[in-house]
Amino acid sequence: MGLYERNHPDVMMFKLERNLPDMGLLRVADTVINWGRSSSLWPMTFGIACCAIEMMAVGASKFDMDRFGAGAFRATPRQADLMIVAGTVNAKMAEVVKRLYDQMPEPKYVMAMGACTVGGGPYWKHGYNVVKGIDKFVPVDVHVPGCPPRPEAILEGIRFLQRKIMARRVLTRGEHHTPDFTGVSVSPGTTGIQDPQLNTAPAVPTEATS
Amino acid sequence: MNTQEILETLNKDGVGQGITLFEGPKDPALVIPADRLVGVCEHLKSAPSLQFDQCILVTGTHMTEIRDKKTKEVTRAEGIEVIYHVRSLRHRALVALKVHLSLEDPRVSSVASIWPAADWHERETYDMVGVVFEGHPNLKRILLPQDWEGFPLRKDYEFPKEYRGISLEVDPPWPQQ
Ligand code: SF4
Repeated sequence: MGLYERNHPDVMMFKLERNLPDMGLLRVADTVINWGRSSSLWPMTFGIACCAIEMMAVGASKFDMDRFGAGAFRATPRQADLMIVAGTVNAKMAEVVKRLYDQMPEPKYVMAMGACTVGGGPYWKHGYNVVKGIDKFVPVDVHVPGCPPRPEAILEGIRFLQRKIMARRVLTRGEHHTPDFTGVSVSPGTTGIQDPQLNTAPAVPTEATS
Repeated sequence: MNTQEILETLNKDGVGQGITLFEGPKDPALVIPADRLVGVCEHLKSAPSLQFDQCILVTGTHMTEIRDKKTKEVTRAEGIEVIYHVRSLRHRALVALKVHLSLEDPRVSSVASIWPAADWHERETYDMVGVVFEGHPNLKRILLPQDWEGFPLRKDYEFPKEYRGISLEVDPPWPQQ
């Protein structure tokens, strides 16, 4: 196991978690991390069609998305946490949207805004070049329907996403997240590290064994 | 100056051979044989009594076959119609020109050298109905990706199921009627 793997946060957290009898500290840390993530959701500056106008309205002072910490539109995917796909995604554009999503750093969230991105919208029958729902090629966290959605609906979508983030477990893992060490690879979170030492480690105490 | 008068002017100037007046339900138009289009357009632009110097639009339509209900005669053959709208700012006139082409091999000369505005319109017509404009400086698809198959505004177009691995199908599928 190289230095990088030994010091990888996921490995360290796993060891910490295994050795700490009381997980209360990590739970608190989870809450703090989630609070930080959900309160500084920086969206990416891009709009594809008519829905983008409404997204701009939400960013402007009348509705003011910045109240929820989500108003700092970043002009690069490298600095963005949230991709608001606002507008009709056609076949030519889908690859670009996919590439933008791939360029965003983790953790990243996607909001499908408007009927077009939810399921094709007005083009779902005769739109020969429209992708009927962006969940065909990127994972979507929130669907906000409407054509276009009202600004309040987008704010509700943001609040929903924030609640969703707050419910996530970053450091601690619930029973359903207990890593399965019988296989070769361990994929805690999203990184998927390969750790032979962890493979031979004693089984993680679960409710049944402890 | 209405379409009838424009046709009379063309006849007087000696370029009116083969041009017929189309009296549609709404707007009249001049139907021009495909091989004479460029000559007529050049004359429309340069003749002092006409001076059609602005090209408003170029578009194409896939015309389906129409048969008479009783006699079953073909009153309109299937084919592709290219429509040009040009305006004369000097004489305050607007005229529509139509060219009938076959569905199998729709080819017509480009008028982009006469009216530069026709350049992109012809590209769009090529993109949507597949009319080949001969002599066009850069005839390739303008809106759809270059590797797209088929011409979407033709009546027999079939919707693609996927494009470069991304599904374009409705999920759940549209119910069959
Ligand atoms: S959902 Fe409606 S408003 Fe939004 S991009 Fe589609 S057509 Fe435009």
